[in-house]
Amino acid sequence: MQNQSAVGLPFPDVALPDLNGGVLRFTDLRGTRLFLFMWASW
Amino acid sequence: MPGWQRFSEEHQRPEWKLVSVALDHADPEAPRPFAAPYAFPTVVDAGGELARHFGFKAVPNGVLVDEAGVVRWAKFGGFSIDNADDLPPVQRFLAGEDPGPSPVPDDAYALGALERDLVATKVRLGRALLEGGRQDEAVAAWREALRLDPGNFTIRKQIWSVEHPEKFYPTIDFAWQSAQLAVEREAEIAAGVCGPDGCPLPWVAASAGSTERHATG
Repeated sequence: MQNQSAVGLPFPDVALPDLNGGVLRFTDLRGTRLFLFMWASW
Repeated sequence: MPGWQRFSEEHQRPEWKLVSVALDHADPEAPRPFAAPYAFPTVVDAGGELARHFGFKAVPNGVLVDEAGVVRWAKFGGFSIDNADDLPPVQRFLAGEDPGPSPVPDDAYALGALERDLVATKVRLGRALLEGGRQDEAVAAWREALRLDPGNFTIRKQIWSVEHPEKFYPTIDFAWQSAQLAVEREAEIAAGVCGPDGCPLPWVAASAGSTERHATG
């Protein structure tokens, strides 16, 4: 149910910190195809 | 991760970008050694914003987003660029084509929006408590979240990594995780916390073949 509702809808307008003290706002990446890989160190 | 770097180096074009999202709850610095040598950006979602939005409960995940910011394909849990099922949609999409249908999740168990918010809030509370040096209370908050969402491996593993760090560093002991999961699930089901597999209600005959979601306390 969860990812069926995700496809076809906009990626959320979130801003997440990178590891260099910067912030990445996903809406700033529009205009390019994105490949997001989500993982954890565990 | 090495698969990612290889893929990025072999296929990188200006037309697309790879973004790695680390979902560590307890320590936002934990991803650094895994992310450091790579050219693509790594961001940290320590507050679980993406999990709250998408409702996923496991990693690793792959999400393909088009130029307009629309999600075109997603797989939550078990995604790998080295997986024969996962590579073709990615390749098609990054070549400018339609990726095809997303995989149907096996887990039909889904929390309502309010429950997801409650789980996410308890996860954030735990994070704040851990930052304040209150580890026992942090784990207690995460356990409350897990009780609401017992199929959520991101929360369960986060508790494990804090309570059993020796099982994660320097190497992850997956055999231990399997054994620990079995022990914990048995105890949870006995306590009435059932999760995706449901709990048989006492008045439903075993042969009826249907299990309903048991109300959690």
